[in-house]
Amino acid sequence: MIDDTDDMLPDQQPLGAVTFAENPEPRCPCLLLLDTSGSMAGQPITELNAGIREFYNELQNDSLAIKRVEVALMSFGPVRLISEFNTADCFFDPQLVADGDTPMGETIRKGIDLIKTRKEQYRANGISFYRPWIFLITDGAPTDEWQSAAAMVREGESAKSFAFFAIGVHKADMKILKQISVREPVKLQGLKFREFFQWLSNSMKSASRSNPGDRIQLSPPLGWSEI
Amino acid sequence: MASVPLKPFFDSSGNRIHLGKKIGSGGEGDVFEILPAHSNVVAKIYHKPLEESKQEKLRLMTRGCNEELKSISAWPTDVLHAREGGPVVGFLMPKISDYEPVHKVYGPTHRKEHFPHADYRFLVRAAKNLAAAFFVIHKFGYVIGDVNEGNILVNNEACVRLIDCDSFQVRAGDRLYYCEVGVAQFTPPEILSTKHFKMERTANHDNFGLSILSFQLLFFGRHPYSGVYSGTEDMPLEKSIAEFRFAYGKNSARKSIAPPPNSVGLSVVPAQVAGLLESAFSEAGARPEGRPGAGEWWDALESLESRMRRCSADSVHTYYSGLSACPWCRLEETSGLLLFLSVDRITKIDLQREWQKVEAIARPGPIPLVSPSNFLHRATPLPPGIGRAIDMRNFRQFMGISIIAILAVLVLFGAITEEFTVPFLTVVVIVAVLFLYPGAAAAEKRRRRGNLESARYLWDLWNRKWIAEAGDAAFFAQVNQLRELKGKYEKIDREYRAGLLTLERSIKDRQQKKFLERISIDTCTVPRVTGGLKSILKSVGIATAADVTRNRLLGIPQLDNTLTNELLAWREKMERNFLFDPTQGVDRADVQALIHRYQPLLKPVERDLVQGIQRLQRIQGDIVKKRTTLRPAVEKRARELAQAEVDYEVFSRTPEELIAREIEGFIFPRRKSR
Ligand SMILES: Nc1ncnc2c1ncn2[C@@H]1O[C@H](COP(=O)(O)OP(=O)(O)OP(=O)(O)O)[C@@H](O)[C@H]1O
Ligand SMILES: [Mg+2]
Repeated sequence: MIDDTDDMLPDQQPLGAVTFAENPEPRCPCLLLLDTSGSMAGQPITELNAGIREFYNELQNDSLAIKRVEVALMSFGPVRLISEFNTADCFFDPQLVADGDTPMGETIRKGIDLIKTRKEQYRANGISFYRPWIFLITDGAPTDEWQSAAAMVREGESAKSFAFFAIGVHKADMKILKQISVREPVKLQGLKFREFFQWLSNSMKSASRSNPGDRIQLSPPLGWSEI
Repeated sequence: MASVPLKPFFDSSGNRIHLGKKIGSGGEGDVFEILPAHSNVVAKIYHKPLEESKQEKLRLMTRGCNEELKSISAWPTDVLHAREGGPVVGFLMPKISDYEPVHKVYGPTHRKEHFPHADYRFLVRAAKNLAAAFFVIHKFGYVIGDVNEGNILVNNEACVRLIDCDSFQVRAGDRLYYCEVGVAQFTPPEILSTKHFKMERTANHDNFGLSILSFQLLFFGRHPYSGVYSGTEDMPLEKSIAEFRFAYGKNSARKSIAPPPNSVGLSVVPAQVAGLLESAFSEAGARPEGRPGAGEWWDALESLESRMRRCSADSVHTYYSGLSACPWCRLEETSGLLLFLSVDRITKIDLQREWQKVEAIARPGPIPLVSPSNFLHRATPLPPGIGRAIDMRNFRQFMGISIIAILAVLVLFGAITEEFTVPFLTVVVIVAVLFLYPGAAAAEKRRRRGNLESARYLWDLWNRKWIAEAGDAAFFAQVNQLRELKGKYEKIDREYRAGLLTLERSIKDRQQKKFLERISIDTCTVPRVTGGLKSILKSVGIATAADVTRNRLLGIPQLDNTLTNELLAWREKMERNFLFDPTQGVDRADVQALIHRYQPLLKPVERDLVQGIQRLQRIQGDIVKKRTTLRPAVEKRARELAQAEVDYEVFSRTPEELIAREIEGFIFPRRKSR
């Protein structure tokens, strides 16, 4: 119990309320859970880093998306919170390094918590928000307990608290991904991270100016997936 | 630019239309400039062939075009065909340049960036002009339908223009051409549940969008239906709209919604404007013609405009004169927001005075020492039976060790042979019993050891808390942070002052530039610079003598060397007419631009400083308080630990305990040190 409080950072984002008043646009939160286990070393991690950079670039060049889309980054192997939920103007280059194992279960649980906290901040500050998106990107299989995480995903999906998408890279264990994600997991074609992020930024842009209706507005995953 | 169609298009009279640079792109089509000199007309070319009804709608719109519509919108002026007599593939419309989408006006961050001079009057004027634009559209029987934050443009004089007019709803006799799109945030509750928009839209629907946008302009980008909802479930904006949860309305409590923190309420606008908002966002508004129309909005905003007052503390603050004090000063103070860029100064605090406050806060001093070693205790006396039991035990163990020693000697000298096996085993059993027989002392020992462990645990817990909360680390961390902020503040302030200095030095250059900027290229009398050439120059942004530089002329294919030189000579001639006026000093506008650049940088630092000083005060108070409130509890734990340690002391002197401690110390070196 004591150790937990020792790890906590004091006063996270104390200026939240001001930021929300300066920019009260409705938010479109997007959480990326990125596998940085040893197997991602070399080309894969380089491509992933480049993809993320381009992703932010795209969002920054859209005057509405820059006010509405909020991205948070978590990497796993080991689990790290790289960036809290922020609009794209606050981007800093994550420069992910591949090492460690694949604690997928823990990441998913922590990620879902992060979304919960952010939603509470939106609520307290009177900021409307769209359903958050979670993207899990992995090239392996969990090395920790993941069943409880899968249960949380199912629960969140059925309560419409978020939409969870799993993207498998290379030798990812698609069978387990299928058990974690309610939505059909998608296999990345080769290392087409850039194409994936291009697609994601387009989807985020159109979601952030959506038409009426509660649908999730994703265009078909063309150009990067093995479908 | 890559995809500019090379083939010309044809307007309805068969004139060839050549496209220039692409200047915009949307879901339905691309927008291009027109070559060569039609600089005030642009063309939209659709991505896909149009349905016959859509072609007909465009023809109808161009026929209905008039000056009034053109002045407030990018109304289609003529249709375009890919070949003569072919289907309609696009249309011509007035070019709208130097306008920004309305969301950059109502959102404070973007407004300060793109409209640094805008004050509240500007926002009211933009809302009024928006109402005027809606009024014209409705007057001619059209409905906008897809009202949204991107289709409405505003320029730096708060003029408003509507684009994407081809999606408007058009009525011709008994035929209706639908507007089939919409954005949730601006769609009225009564039609929000429709899956598509193949339906008749009314002016009352548009008036919902108009009221939303007016609210956003007047209330710093807040959406009227976004608030703090007290229910437990998610409350998406659309649902909030559908359930009429107007966060600022008089019924908001009944709707379980409240205005967000750091926002202003309806009281900052006159009752007339508040009344329009109430009726636009309540159930009554959803009835046919239930919402205030564009005309009513215009009247109410016009009246607000004539009743504005300037704040005496900050001249960029203008507000409704019915209020007793400036609402923006108050909001800026309580929230730390920067609502408008000041024209007078870059900061509202005096750094020197703030720093004196920091120094006036008393240092808490080092943490008072509390430790178990401060307390001397005598061991609780052992119950008499147990004292004897310990002595017995010590004796037993002494005996056991002696027997082992004798045996060892015997083994060493080979005295133990086959026939001694039985007696040997007997001796081993005796030794084991001597050592392992628990005796009466064991229970007491376990109890005391348990006490010691929990006393140690509790001491640890409280000691950490004591150091964290009564120590001075947090205080100095905060002081350091403030020192860093002070450094940042001074750096920005220095840069700003350096900017002012450079301005003063370059007055002459700037005066000259301003002078040249007032000389239009049209006044150029060089014979070879014809009217045609002048409009080419203007189309690439060379409009005044100030723009005429060798670098900028270089890229223009229509200019040969002599022409270029003649133009440059013309500029030099104009320069000779310039007279420096040293009395003029630095231009007010230049100073303002500088303020506008540095104020947003300084504001967050200023805010952090002010809040940080308050925090330091709180931290100091907390430490002092904690030193008195926590102390008895910590001391109690220290005393308890000291007591538990001496109580256990009696047992820790037995030989077996000493051996065990050695082993433990070897395995867990850290634990031993406690
Ligand atoms: N009259 C105009 N003058 C200058 N630029 C224009 C004009 N009309 C449109 N544009 C630019 O072109 C872009 C696309 O125009 P428009 O919104 O009409 O296209 P669209 O395909 O209907 O888009 P959407 O899918 O958003 O409805 C606009 O965002 C704007 O930047
Ligand atoms: Mg359109």
